[in-house]
Amino acid sequence: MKLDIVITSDRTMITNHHGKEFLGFVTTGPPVGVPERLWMWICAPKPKVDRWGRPLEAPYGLRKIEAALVNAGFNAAIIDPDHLGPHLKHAKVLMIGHHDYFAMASPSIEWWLMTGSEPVNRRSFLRLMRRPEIREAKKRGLKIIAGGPAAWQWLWNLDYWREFGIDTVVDGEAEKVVVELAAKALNGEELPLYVYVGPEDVPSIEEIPEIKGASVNGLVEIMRGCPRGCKFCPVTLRPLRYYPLDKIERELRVNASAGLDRCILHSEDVLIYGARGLEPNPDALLKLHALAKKYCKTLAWSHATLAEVKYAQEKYKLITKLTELIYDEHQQYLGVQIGLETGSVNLAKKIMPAKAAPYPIEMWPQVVEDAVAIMHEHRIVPALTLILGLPEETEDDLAQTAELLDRLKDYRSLIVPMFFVPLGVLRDRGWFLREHLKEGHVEIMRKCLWHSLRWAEDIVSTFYFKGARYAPLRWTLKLFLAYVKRKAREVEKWLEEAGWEGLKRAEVKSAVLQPVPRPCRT
Amino acid sequence: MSELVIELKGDENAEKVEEAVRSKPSARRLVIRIAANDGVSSIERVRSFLVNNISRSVIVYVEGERDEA
Repeated sequence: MKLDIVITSDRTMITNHHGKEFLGFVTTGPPVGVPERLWMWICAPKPKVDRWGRPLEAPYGLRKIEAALVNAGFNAAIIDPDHLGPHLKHAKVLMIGHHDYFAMASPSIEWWLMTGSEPVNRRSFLRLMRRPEIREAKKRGLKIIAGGPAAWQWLWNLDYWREFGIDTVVDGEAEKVVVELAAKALNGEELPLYVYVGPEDVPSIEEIPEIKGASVNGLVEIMRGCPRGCKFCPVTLRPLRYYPLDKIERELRVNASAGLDRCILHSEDVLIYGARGLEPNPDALLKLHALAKKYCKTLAWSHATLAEVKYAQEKYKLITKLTELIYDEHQQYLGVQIGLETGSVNLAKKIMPAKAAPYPIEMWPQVVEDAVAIMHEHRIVPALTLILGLPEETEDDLAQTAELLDRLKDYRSLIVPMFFVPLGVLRDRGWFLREHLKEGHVEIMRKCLWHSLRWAEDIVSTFYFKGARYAPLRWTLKLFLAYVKRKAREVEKWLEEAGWEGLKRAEVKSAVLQPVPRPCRT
Repeated sequence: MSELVIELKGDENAEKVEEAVRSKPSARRLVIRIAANDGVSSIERVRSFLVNNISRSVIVYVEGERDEA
């Protein structure tokens, strides 16, 4: 098999995370308390590949690029990073994609800033790009095009851009533009250095190609864009487009025919699939889930919003109806990632005025608590994310968030604090770095840690890693949780003795006081 | 779609791009051509514009040798 275009990424991306998507989050951290090899085994095992090194499952975004190129008649395929050598002897173009090339996005950045140690996603990507087979192919004239959701990070890493010889960086939905770029690269025409795909150049639903090979953990997109308009979010800048059910079914079939019996429905808010504005469409949602269950024993939602959970349940009993449809002998819980962002009404008004809609934003803390309670009752396990360091954040905002966390403590969930990363409409704002941390932030992080540790043990034992097959992973994670608890108690003891400001001043050798790394190289 | 081509010479930078966009706000696609021999480094000259831009497609060409390591 001789490919003209090879598509790849590093090991933290080309993996199925043992079939547990949530373990993908572990690739965003540095190896804490264990050797890096073991850490990588936990979160990013090598996938099954065919005789040419094509992975059975590959990231959905790369699958879309592969499909766009194949549909346009190019000889292109996704290749596992450990099988690049033979292909790069002939290939003329290498395309790479990543969620977080340089660990500049959340949560990678806060693990890095807090521990002073580079997350494994960054290490793994840098190792990939320094491989001799890529360097040698580059010397022979290989063109390298980088894209994906983390493409913006290259603007802040010009040294690496130069070092790796990246010819073009593409930021945005690339299914249309990549065909033009591939033709230029293969014909030896001038390539642009940088492309940003604006709202009017994104593909329409009809122009979005359907995947030709299985996606990691059976992820399938059901829509693009989000109407809520939160200022920190880049997705909201894209037009709203719903996939019709027949398009979704064709992708479910691709995954099923590769032997996958699980799927993740991907949307910024699964509950507004087919919605009129923010009014849920129960019929569309029930049909969507019935369709997914036809092909998958288990399913998960990528994202939802708290307001939609509360509203859909209160008005239509939709959470009950959907979980009744989803739960059976194969599945007893549902995982989802949800943005909680802040517990402060004032801050919510400024940065996400439509986040609580159709409820008034003044009700935000109540919307959060009600939605989390509804999910707890329905065995939906949310990974809730908070943003620390939002522009104009005050001590009072932090206190309100801490208060809300107290109200959530008895609901099964993981709560992950994330440092503000300037994206979306707030792209021009300053980064939140460790030196900006105040007592209020530390208190929130402490509450999140203990909340998540408490519930992580429950989730690992009760839901996530059931059965003998997962015993080694279950025990490894339990040991890791015990280690984190021990370290957390040490840090808490220092905090009690000196306070955060005192601790910052003191020269105590601890993980939280390592030199502050800078995520950007220019 | 309305396209605007902007050429940056010498030490011209993001300010010139912003000026050009102000003069033709209806442009939905910008093609920026940077005459430079510093390849990737020339991105620094327009980075502040690129980082802030959300509403328009932008294509940046650098005319001159790429400064690969």
